[in-house]
Amino acid sequence: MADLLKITNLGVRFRALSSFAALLQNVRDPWIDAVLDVSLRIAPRETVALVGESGSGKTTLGRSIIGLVRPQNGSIQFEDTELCGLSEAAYKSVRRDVSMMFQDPVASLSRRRSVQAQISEPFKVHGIPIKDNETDRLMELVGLNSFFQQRFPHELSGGQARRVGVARALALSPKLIIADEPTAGLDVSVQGEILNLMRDLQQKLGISYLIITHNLPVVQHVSDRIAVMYLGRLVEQGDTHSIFKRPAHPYTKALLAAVPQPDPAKRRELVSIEGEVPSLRERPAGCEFHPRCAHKQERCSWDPPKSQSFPDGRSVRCHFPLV
Amino acid sequence: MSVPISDTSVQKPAGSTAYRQFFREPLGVFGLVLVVILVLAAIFAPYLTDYAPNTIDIKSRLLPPSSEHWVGADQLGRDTFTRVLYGTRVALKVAAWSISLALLGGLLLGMIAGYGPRWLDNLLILIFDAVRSFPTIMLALAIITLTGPSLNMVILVIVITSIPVYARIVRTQTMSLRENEFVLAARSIGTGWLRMLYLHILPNVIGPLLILASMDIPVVVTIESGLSFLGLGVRPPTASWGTILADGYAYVRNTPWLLVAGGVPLILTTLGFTFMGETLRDVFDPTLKRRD
Amino acid sequence: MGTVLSINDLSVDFSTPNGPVHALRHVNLDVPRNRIVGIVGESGSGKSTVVSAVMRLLANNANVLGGTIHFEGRNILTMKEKELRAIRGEEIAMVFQDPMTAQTPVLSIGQQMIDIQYRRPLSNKDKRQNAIEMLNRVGIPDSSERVDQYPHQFSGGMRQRISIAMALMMNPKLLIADEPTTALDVTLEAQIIHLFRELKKSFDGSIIIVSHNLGLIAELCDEVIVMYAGEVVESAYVEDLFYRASHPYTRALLECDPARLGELTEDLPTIPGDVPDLQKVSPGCIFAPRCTEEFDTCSHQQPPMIALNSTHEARCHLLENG
Repeated sequence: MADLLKITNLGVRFRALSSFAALLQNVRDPWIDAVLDVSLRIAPRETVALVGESGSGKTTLGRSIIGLVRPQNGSIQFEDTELCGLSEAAYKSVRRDVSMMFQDPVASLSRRRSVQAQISEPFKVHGIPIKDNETDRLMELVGLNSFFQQRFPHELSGGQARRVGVARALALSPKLIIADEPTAGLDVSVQGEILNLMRDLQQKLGISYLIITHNLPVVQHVSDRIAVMYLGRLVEQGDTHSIFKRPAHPYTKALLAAVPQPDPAKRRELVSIEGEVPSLRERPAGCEFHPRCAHKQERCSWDPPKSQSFPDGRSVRCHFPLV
Repeated sequence: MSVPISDTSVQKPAGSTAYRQFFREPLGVFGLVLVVILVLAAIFAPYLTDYAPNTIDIKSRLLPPSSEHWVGADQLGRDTFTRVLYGTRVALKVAAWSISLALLGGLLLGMIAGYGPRWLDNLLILIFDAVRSFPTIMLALAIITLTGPSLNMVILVIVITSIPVYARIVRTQTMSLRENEFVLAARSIGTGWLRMLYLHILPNVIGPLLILASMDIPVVVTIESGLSFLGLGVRPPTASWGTILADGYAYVRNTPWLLVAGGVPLILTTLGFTFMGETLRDVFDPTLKRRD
Repeated sequence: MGTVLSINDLSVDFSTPNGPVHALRHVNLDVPRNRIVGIVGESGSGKSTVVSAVMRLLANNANVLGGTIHFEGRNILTMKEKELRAIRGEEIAMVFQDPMTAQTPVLSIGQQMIDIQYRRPLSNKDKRQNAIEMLNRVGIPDSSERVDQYPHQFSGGMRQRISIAMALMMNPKLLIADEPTTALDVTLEAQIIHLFRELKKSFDGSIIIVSHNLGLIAELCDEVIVMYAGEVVESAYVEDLFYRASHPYTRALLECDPARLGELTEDLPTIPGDVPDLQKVSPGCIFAPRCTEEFDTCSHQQPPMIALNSTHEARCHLLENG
């Protein structure tokens, strides 16, 4: 099956300081790498979860797929089109097939425009005529009563605003939706609503998802594959169930072990991981995770590991994977 | 499996309560009333008085207030009350034109500076700062001395010196909005810069700007009066509060009423627009958010 | 007396232009000495209102309609400002959700920690030493140098540790932590949980942890109360709560927690419906509209608290008649 999205060796850098400031502060490299050497594929009708903590680069990666941020190196291939280096005008047609749902559902809607106007916006921007009850159809798809179309963003609850975000993302029948923290701010008892909706839409319309999240427990139940990021690099990716059962990278293992379990019998005595995520400006040498790794060996401190692939589709960036 | 219909709860919209809030503030309402009076006075000037503003009547020279001349007459026997009324027209005309043009210019340039490429922003800021480094009155004096006094020149000067102020505010707002999620979302759909500015940025920057503009009106009116007072604004015999004040100043030993007539409307204008503007600002101030 | 804090029949309204919002209704809560009590609730449950009431930091439009809050025998609700100020920071301390705004940005950490000790008759040098020791206890490395640094020079995780240090420095009888790990990444959360556990060994006060995260509650708490829409619906020792939950809301909440779910082929479970409008509180059970087991009495009559054992009670009609 041909890939829908194929990302190869992607790199995104940001300028942390102007050249002059760098000179004054004696900083050699004023750039920080938010995304470094990332390769990832998404098949049609597949849900991939991109998991990581703050500073992992997952949001930047999501934004670079849709062109809000432009990568410096590597390639992003969507179907047959190469996205890197595409002009803004050419990107526009890509944005019919790839759309994004944002983390803050109310803030991502324009304050002064009605729900109906916002759902119809993608049509207007691309000059596609809207059929008469197109917006009604979209509202129904996301389970919102039609009269909400006349409401304004501040008149919606968080859950309703999220559904409007989904409706807008669905407007032009995209093939891939990038969902940035779809469960952020939602109570556990209602998280399922939005995720069930997304799954439902996948079954009906064949959409692929890239779900960017730090909500690990939920990832297990909604994604086919998961990709774990640390300091801008992909450290492990593969089938969700296998990774949850037997993580190969020490960071993945520590991450999964760190999630507090809602069961008093499962209290942990030891902390799964010490220290904090290093600053992106001061990347550790060798394997960037080694200062915090419980399994580190001498080689890890000077030799950066390459990504190894396994027959089951797993890939791990580690000299001594646990599996 | 069908998707459940989401709940139907609704949050209270902010617009209607703002309206009600405004009318609860006595100073704001008082300001609004004054403004309305001024506007009505300007519009209906011919109907509120029997005199024409420039009719000379030497017999009535410098008369104190009476039943025929409610605020007295000036040194050429012209009815002061009438001149004040017509002066309102001048004041409001200057205010309307200069503020509107400044707003337009400020909006356009500010949005372009805030949303466009860095180099354009740097260039515009440079121009703004250069213009702002001249004190308004000095610039007015310089230009008008060259071109001769006229109302249009006054308006032009005010526009030129106000645009950078408004533009800077719009620019700052635009720059912070640029990073907001709804702007990113619009970009992710493919929205171009023109549509973005018009549909998403403009409605969000115009609010504070309008409030600022309303507070600027008394400043502009005072500048016009000041220039007219110095003889650099309207040409005689046109009535303007400034020229009335000039006359009042010259003839203060004969009658204090001209000074009063020129000064009081200025004070009322300032009070009215300032109170109204401040109340508007308080009402729309986002820091009035309630804690959950 | 073995109870540090005793909240009895507390009811709080908020006045809004559209009428009063009944945020808390007849809340009872006891915090025994030396125990960690958890308050679990989702949005609108009132859990943050409860702790604000304890600290007397409610918003201006809040009205306490009734009830008492006894701290070490004294009623907080009737205390004068002066007494309250003596208690806050000294006997009751609080750790907040957002570590990035919890410290003053313009003073160094050391200055802030010295400032907290203002009631103590110690020299500045001793106070500074106390601060350094406290920073050590919460795991800040190089504390003797870092004590002079400013908040922005610390990461989020460290700042939360500093908040905990500042709260515990005066050895309060009660520490209240309001969503202490919600703003942190999961690995940092694990560290903070571990920190709380270590500190508990040497800290002889009681702790209240407010959270919507059942995992956090399970890790740390001895006793738990569950709140829904302004009421306490269940209260139990932690094992009873997680293994023998009796209130339908508690059970539904546990079922929805993705960390508890096994292999899933169907949709994720949810609790359908939405939190009720607290301006119009119905006379019946507050959870009835969303309850899968509700029957006719439920929507007419508020259920009483039924005791399941000496330490476990729940507010549900289903539990009546044994």
